Amino acid sequence: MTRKKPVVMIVDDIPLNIHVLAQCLSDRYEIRAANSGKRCLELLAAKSSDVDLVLLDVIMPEMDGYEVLRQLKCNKDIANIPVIYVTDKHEETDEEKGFALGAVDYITKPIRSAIVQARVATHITLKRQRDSLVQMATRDQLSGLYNRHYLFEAAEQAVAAACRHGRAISVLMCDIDKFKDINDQYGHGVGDRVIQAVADVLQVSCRREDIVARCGGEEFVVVLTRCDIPLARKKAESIRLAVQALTVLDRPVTLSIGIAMMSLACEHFEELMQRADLALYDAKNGGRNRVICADMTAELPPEPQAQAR
Amino acid sequence: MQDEPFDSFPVWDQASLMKRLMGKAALKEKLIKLYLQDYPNREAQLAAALAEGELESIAHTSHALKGMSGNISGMRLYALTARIEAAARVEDSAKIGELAPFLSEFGQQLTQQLEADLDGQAVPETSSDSATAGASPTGTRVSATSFRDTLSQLQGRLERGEFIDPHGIPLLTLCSQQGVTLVTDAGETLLEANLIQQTNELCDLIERFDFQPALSVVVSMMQLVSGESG
Repeated sequence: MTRKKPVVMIVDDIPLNIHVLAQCLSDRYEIRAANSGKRCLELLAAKSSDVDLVLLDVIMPEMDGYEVLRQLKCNKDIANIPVIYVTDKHEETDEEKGFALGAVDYITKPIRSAIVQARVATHITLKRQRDSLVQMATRDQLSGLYNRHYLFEAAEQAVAAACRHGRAISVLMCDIDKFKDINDQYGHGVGDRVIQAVADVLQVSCRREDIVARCGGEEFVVVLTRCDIPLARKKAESIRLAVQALTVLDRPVTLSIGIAMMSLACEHFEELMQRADLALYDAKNGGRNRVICADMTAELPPEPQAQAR
Repeated sequence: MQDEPFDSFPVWDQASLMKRLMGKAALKEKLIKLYLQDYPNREAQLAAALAEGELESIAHTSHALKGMSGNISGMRLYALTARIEAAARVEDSAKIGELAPFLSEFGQQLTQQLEADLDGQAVPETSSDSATAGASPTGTRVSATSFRDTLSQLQGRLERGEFIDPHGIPLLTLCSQQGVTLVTDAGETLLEANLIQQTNELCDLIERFDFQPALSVVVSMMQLVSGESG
């Protein structure tokens, strides 16, 4: 598999400076360009952004490089992108200021190609290594979804935030029906393919802000932020139908799903999981390939019709 | 400590520029053109700031001119603007007064050398394109579909902020040099488009990284093509 070239963004208000830097790097990296701090932040914050490293000019009109870095560090989605300052300011205090804000390095102008290439290569390598470590620590290797460790850490935060802001949050507990039979009959290779296929369905069915995790074996958990029971039920039903449409080696695959929404008492994620798990148990006992909501009497007083099963 | 005299700095250190550009002559030509295009405005801004004695503005404008002069290896102008900036930052108006008269002279020396270099190495423009269907007096015949596809791809790349060499896109090069006649897939003339001016404007905006205005030009060109093809 060929790995995509790392992406370097060059930010400078003077076009000539961008061209000079780009020519040093364009053989080994994909280059993005921004001629202002504002434009840089817009491009980085875009959903499709894939920037690995930013080369940032310090003195620019309207928004200088320090302010760009300050704002970048406030956005958790992009805060970890390494930033190298490229500037002809080279007094110690300026460097200290840049490092204090979180820059990883400094390059001075007029630039020297060999220095730029060496420093960029070093920080790209570090970034890639860190990305690999994060990937290994937070992702399930087989499905590519988040792992149990990440789920508990992120979901606890999401539940706490939902509680603090009075927003709805729901959990789907999903389990592939008769998975043991698939493994026994067709072997673990096919079992793995089923897991991957279901994981793909879950991933494409959910929003970027949702947490989709493989919890172990054939069990998956989805945390749906800003989502109440009717919406969660709709989402779960669409997932169930999408999985039902899958066939692996002409064998049908089905999924049972239990749903729970955070109660008004602001329960912890583990309690929410337990209720979703009980609903899943009911779904299995009820004949599988179905969606069941957890007991809701305590959680949705305005909509008494949304009753538990 | 005494500053080194200005004449100890070369007006233009071509060798160090070529080292920075790793020997790429075509890129040197492009950068010189960009520099010459940008220089008059930058010089005027600094000259205006110097005339007004506005220190913060002097620091900013000399900084910008210093950066681009350094990168093109215009070492004498670089040294001058570096000293002007430094003096502005410590609010040394007397020093600025001593340095200001050199600006126009050093700028002229550098731009003359850059222009002479361009004149000496001017390469005849060439056109090549696999998407052409044969030249005609009203512009090369080009499939409207490929033209629209090219613009659509360009739009995506601009939106992503990609570094783009517009002259590396054959259809744009062709269009900027000769204009095009757009034809349907069946070969019927759809539009004898004089897009030379728009394409040149587009290439210029891309090279200056003004991507938002460049996107507007792309969209208007796409509308023109779509309007003709229904």
